[in-house]
Amino acid sequence: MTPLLELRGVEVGFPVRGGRVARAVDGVDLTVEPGEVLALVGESGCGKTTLARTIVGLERPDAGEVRFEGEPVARRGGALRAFRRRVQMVFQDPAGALNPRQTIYEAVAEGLRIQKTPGNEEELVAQALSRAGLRPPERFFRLYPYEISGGQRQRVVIAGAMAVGPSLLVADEPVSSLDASVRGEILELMLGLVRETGVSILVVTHDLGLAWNVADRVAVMYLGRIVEIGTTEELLGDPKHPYTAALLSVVPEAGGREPLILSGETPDPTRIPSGCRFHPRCPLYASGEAARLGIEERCRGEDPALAPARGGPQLAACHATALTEAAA
Amino acid sequence: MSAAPRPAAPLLAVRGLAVTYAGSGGGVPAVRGVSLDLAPGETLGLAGESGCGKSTLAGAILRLLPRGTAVTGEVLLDGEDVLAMRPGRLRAVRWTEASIVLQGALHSLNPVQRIGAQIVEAIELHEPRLGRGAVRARVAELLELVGIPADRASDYPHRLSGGQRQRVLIALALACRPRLLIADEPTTALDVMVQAQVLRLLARLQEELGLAVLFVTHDLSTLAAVCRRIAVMYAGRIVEEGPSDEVFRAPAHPYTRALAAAFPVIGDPAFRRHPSGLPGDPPDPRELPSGCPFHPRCPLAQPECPDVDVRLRPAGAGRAAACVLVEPA
Amino acid sequence: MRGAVATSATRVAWARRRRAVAGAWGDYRRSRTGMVGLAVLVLAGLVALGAPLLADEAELRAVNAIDNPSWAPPSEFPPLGTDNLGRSVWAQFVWGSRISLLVGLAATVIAIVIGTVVGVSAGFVGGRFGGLLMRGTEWFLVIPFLPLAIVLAAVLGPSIENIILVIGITSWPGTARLIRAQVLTLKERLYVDRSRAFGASNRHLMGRHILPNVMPLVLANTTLTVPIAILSETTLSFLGLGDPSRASWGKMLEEAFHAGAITREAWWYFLPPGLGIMLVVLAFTLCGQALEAILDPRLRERRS
Repeated sequence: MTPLLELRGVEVGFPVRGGRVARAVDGVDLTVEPGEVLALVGESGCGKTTLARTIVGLERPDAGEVRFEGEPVARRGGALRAFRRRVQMVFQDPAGALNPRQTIYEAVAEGLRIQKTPGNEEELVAQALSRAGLRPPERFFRLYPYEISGGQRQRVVIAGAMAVGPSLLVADEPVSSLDASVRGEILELMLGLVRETGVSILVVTHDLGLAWNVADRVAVMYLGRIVEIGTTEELLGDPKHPYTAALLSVVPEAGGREPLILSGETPDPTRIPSGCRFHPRCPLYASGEAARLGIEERCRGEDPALAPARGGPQLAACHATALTEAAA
Repeated sequence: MSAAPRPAAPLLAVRGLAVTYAGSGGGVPAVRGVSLDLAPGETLGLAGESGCGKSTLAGAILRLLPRGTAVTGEVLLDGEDVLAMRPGRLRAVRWTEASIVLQGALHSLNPVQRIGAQIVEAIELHEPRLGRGAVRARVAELLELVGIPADRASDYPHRLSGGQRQRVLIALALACRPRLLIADEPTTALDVMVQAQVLRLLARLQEELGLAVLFVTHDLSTLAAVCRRIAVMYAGRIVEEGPSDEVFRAPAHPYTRALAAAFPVIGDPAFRRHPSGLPGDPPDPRELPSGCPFHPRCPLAQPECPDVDVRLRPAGAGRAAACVLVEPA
Repeated sequence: MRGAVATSATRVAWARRRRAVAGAWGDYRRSRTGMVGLAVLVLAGLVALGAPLLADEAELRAVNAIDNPSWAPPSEFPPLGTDNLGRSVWAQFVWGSRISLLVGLAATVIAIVIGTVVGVSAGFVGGRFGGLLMRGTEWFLVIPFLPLAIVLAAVLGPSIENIILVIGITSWPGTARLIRAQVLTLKERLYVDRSRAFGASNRHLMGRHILPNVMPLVLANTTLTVPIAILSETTLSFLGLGDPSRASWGKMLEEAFHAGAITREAWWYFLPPGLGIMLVVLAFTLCGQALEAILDPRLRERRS
């Protein structure tokens, strides 16, 4: 089966002051299957939002390829517009994603108008709103974004995105700006959309608990690269990459794990460390475990690729967990 | 008007605190009668969602609310009512007795002043007789205390990362050796890993310095991990209070239950592909529902709930909850 | 079928727009200062438009005023007395309002149009083109207004059209910079990204998201530019660079000053144009503030 979305070696960089380039996304391979929920997890600055924006076509990759349903994504013209109908985005801050001068009706109708969706516009808007849980929809038509709550705003954004009939929804931290008690309902709405319409969702988040809540698979990102990927149960049940393990250990909800607090903060993406990008903060490297395994040299000098991890079906980019000793 | 004698006299005792903001269409009741105690060296977590009044409560303790805000009740700091203090006494109490690390404080460092100088300023304001050398030694000691090398004192804030800036703010709050630290969402803007670092720092400081900490955040799971006791607020009142583990694992109030369920336990099949939340939104303090303000969202609402303004009632050892379904144990 | 749908959509859109305008007017009426400003402006407009009914243009010419007493106070020559040549001050005031308002409004239109076009293109297109536009704007900005205006007025000759042109092309750079800054922040808004993700063209983004959100700023800026333009006209006329053949409030002040109205304490000569300028300038500012509060939903939210 062709994957819905396929990324190969995608790189996205931004020039920063001083003539350097911040490599926000630095060689990502990723697939999204039809009807699945994939969580892309990482800390701020790991490139997850840039990757999401690249997938929906708001940023252009400097290298690598984005394929949608087996076809390279068009860069202009009618083909690009058709692609945009199939891939939609939900933003972190629903208040910012809605134009304060547009009514809810206009906000939802905007995509329909741009895409020239056939059918009665008013009916389509009403349908989209009520499918997003805003009922009765007519009550919301004339309201402005500031007149509704944060949770309702996010529903409006989801309604607008779903109205054009996408097969992939990219959701960037869809609930992190919402109150805790409201989050569950929005996540439930998204899962309902997957069940009812078969849409795939790529959810970008910093919250491993959210991944456990909704995702079929999880990809963990560190400094522009995916360092571990697998099914949610495998990855959160038995993380292989030391970064994933550390991340999981400090989540209060993980319960009972000895917290493994990494020192320092994620390095600046203009200065990605050589070799394994994680080695300066890696507990295995710092504790001498890597030296004992005789891979210290490789941690410093050789960039590990995603490979099957020892003792688990998931893939991890770590010399220590690689199943077979790759030739240097 | 004395409270019942307690084994350890509370460092902070809030009694019947009510805060009403001035609004164009009449006052906005943000806190509606809150009482709580914090013993020396104890940690109390205050949890709740936006608009529940938790930050207002934190601000009211040190009288940091905008002018025109009506504050009634008592805030006893070591037995002395903060709300009745003269301005001079209040200035002395802020920082030397109690200090606050504010929400969104990452921007509250002066960008054009070296961090060392900002700490010096705080010390000299409250202890003007301290010698120059003693002040410098104190700055170094404070920075080391929060895990920042003392030689960074000559750096400007923009040279520091987000986590380091938050550490500087904690050092700043501790500059005059307060006994009470109010931390309002101190880790909200930080990454998970940095958040863990700062929480560990706060726990260490609390233990080493015998600090009492009032920890205010929306993140119930964090509170459960770092505080001994938790109070949960909804619509300007405390709706549940008790030892943190019990409140988080076995909530007595349906709101606490829903809030706790919003923080899934990873690995627990009950939460797998099952996000859980409440219908509706937290209420607008200007338009509070009648009776129990939680009743429109409550999954267990009873016929009498819209009419009964239920107050905290005992719910087991050291616990209390404001719900008609709670039977005193 | 599609046609019918389209008409119904257009009808819905128009109905919404009508409601929005009606709603805005309802909000505007609630602003007392806005209504005061509007009343003053309507009055000034009526005076300017109704000038032929209020006073005979012939009275402006000194040849026709030979029989009138000079320096007559209002009590002797109602309604506003006469000047040193015996001309009716009332007639000058009424006909002068036309020129003052015309120059103020026309110069503002020029300044705002240039400023908005330059600001929006520099902000939206950006890059080298935007940079070039802004360098040009800064060039205009650093030229001192008065010397340039004096030189231009002297070179082009003193006529109303030239005064309008001079004020117009010297007042736009501030607007352009302001608009550009606003467009730059708007371009980064999430709702612009959202619209882009729907496949919106640049034209759509401009028409639906950028322009509607810079319009309040343009409007506010207009109301600030009109009074400045009126004051500029006064300044130029006062310096003797105005159109000598037509009365304006600025020219009245100049003539009153040179005829020694102040030493003679002939208040009826210099007070009417002075108060007229002050009131109109104030009224524009009041209206601008009221409009701004209504047209910006975020301000509206804060008020309620």
